[in-house]
Amino acid sequence: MPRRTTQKKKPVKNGSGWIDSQFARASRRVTAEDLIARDDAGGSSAPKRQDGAALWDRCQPTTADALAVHKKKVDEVRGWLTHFFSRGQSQALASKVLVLIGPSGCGKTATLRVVCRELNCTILEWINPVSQQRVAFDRAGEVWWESQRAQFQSFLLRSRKYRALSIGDTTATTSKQLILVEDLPNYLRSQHEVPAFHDLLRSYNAAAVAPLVFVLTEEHLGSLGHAVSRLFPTVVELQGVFNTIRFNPVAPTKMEKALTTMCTIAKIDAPRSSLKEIALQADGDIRAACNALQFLHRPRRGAALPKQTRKRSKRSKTRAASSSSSSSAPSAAKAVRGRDTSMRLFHAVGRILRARRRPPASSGGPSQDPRPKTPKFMTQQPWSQSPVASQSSTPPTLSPVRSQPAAARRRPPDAGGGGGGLLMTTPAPVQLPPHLQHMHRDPLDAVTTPEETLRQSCVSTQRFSQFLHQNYIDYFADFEDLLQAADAFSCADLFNTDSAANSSVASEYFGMTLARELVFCNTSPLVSGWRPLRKPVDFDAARTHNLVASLTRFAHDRSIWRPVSFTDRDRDVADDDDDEDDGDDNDVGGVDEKEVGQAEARAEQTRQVGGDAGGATRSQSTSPSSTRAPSRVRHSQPAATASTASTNHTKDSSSSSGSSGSGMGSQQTGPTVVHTSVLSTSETCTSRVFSMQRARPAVEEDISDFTDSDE
Amino acid sequence: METPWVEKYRPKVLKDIVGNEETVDRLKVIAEAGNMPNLIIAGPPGTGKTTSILCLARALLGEDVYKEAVMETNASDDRGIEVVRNNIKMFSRKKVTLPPGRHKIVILDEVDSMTSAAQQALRRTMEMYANTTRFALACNTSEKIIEPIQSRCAVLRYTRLSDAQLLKRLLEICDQEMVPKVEEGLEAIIFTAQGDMRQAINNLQSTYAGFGMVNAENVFKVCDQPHPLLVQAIVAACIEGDIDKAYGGMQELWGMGYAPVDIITVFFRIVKQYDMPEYLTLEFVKEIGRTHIRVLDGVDSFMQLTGLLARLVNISRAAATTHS
Repeated sequence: MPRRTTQKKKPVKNGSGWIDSQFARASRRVTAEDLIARDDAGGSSAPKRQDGAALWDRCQPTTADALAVHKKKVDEVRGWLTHFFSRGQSQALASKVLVLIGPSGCGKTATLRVVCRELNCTILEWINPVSQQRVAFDRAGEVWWESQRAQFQSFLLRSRKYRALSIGDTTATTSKQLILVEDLPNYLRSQHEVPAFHDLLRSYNAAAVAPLVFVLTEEHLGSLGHAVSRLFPTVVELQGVFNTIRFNPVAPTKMEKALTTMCTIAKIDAPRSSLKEIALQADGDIRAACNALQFLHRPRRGAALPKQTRKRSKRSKTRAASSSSSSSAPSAAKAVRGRDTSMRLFHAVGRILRARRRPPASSGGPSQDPRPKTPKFMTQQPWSQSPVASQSSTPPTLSPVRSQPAAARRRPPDAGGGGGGLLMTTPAPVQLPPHLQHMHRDPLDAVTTPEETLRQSCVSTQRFSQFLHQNYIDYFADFEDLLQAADAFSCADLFNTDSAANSSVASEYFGMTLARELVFCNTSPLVSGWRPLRKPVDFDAARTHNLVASLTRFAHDRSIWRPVSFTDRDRDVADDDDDEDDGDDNDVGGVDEKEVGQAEARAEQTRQVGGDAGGATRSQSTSPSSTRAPSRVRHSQPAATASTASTNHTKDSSSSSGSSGSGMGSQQTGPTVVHTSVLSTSETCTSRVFSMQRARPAVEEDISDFTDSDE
Repeated sequence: METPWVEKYRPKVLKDIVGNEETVDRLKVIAEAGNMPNLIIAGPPGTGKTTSILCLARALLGEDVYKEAVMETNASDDRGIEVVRNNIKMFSRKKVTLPPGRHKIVILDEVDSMTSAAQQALRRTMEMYANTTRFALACNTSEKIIEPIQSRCAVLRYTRLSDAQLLKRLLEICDQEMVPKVEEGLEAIIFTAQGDMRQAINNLQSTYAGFGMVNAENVFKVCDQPHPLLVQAIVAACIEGDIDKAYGGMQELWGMGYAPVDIITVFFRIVKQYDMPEYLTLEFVKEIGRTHIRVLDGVDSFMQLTGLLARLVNISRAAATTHS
């Protein structure tokens, strides 16, 4: 019964690699409005049963109510698309490109799909073709190749002529169509392609009739790629080339609700506590939560599974053994996490920062805290020729060696033998002298050693130290302890360097030097009271840093910004500590008085610009979109610049933080919003510099750093 | 030629897998019920990641279709973006007749060695063919896997095996292979393996093949590691503040021709276990760590090692330790 192995139609693909997307078909096939209704109908009306599909695929929401995304986000996407389809040719100048950005599993694609269903809009998706180059034949019959870039371009620009193939489906006669790019073309990995890509978007804006939607995953900083910041930099967005909608991670309550729905659909009996745990562990990633749910809980027997009567007894036995529904599942959930979550990490961090020590009275034993015990071969007992064969029948008999009390293990001093020529001395218990008594520590009152905790947290040592570093100060009461802890951080950092990180023992050193030393030097940890653990500000800082860098690079490429020396008139506005005088005094006025386009043209002659950047600049000024750059302000009087800029800046920052759809979105931190709004207000250089300096002198220093390095 | 014991005694069914019981239990349930989700198994080497996946695949698909419905690649194969886009995609499209609830399985071993571009190319494939093909990935650190892929998989963590688990398995193998052994020998193997089952079994086989008898001396000879007792004597001398003795011990080790990296690794392990005040342990470990990094950087001279000894002695002298 070759029933459901390759059940779905093969994606319909024509030569240049565009495909009637799978979910376009999925959305058309579905008739029932409700999730559950859809699933139930799956058995009868739809030709295939869904039991073989992953839970994730079965639980795709089809209505806006079923989405785990915040209502406002759905409205935003819907609003954008509705606006797009409803506007006439008069507004054809605005952007036709929408970029959905968010962490993975936050419902970007699902939202788009649901909205498209509502609007009765088909989706045409770009899928990277299998072979890199497409073979075609010209008239002479010769084979020639087409690069992926050409394919992608022709896909975008020609898609308005052809619509998705609708095979065996009559509902697809809608006139609305949307182009989706989720699978970024591989050629875009190259940095050199980025300006051309922006040009492509601009020409798309000029010519196309269908909206183009990119769905991008926002990844952790530090991961390779950076597709978002590289391909869709803020500065290009500000020119109106594309619009951005940012998604947040799914809220825990929403996640729990969605999981409960999934359980209903898949007929899974899962206890509430287990769902809660999964929702917490998933860290806003609903797909990961769904996967964890599928892994941890099997459906009720006979519900969604194919019938296998012969196995039934056996399976129920397994179920009884593992008691999947209640007892073992929550504990197993610890081993199965959605993905690298901070949840477990926070536990580990807390365990290290809140470590307690046993009072000496209760400890009793002479031993240290749970350190690995000395193996028997270390004690150098002469090997007694006891028959091994008798022991081997009961294998675990050897293991209790590890759990013997330390005192009993310790070899009497006179039993020592020569260890290979060296006179073996007994490891006698060493005690600290009186003047170092403050370094004495009672045994740790913990189930695991700090090193073990670090290992169990399953994150890289680097990440772990970031979290510790962010939070450790709150737990220290003594300044001297704090000093020692800071020293521990610097020392542990040594083991995070590249050369050390390749070695397997680096993490062990790290565990000893940082995790244990933190525990060690904190003589009176503040364990009482609730102190929230925070994630490292390093992440946000790096994001802001990237933004500022891209802004600066943009300004630099277009030659509208350069290190400015301020005239006397302007000095009252600028900060005193600016040290970027380059002797460019003459240029300041020039930039101010002319329109930016002219300044560009002039600057291109005078200023040496990198080849790529120059090309981008030139094409920008010639393409029709450059005349539509938003709110370009011409400043005629340099003296007025500062005040104008500052008022603009305050006004604009309030407005742009209010509307999360435009600009950088509500997620951004304060300073970022300021910069964005400053940029969108005016493109003249001096005002930008002034406003930045007013807003945040520190950031301005950053900029100068960048410019220096660029030059 | 005898097969390596690592392969010979690689578990064929899930229930034979040692350690990580909870996770393996869940895998057993999946193996019976079918409909495997995409999986990532992360953990240190030698903990049974690949073995689990192979066992799971075999249990799900059975031996007869295994060859057809499973695609296996590891880091030694070419897994550039081309392969992901062509071979894996082609495999995902392939039609194989399977029982309901079963899927073709793509096993990607050592995923963390794949470039992130290749992983990016993988992610859409995982989704598009989810109805026919499931992915099982194994890696050492899940951090090197891009987030979209992590999000599409259930991530399982394997932890290092405990000494008791290693010992149990080693004893089983010893029984089957009739290896003459002593308790200390097995403990020495466990000491050198540090929770890595593969290394433990390899060391066991090498010791048996080389000497015919598994005792501590032979194990350390085979593994070419300094005997911990020698190192322990040096550490003891350092704590006593006896630089001459420590120097002599180190000279002897050096004369035996051990690699500096091995010496210092054992040094670290000994210090970690040594029964001394926590303060001294921490100070010692810091010094050893710094020296270790220098050694890794290529400065692996005798001078570095003896310099380490001098610094350790200095620390203990400053602490002016007294013995009880």
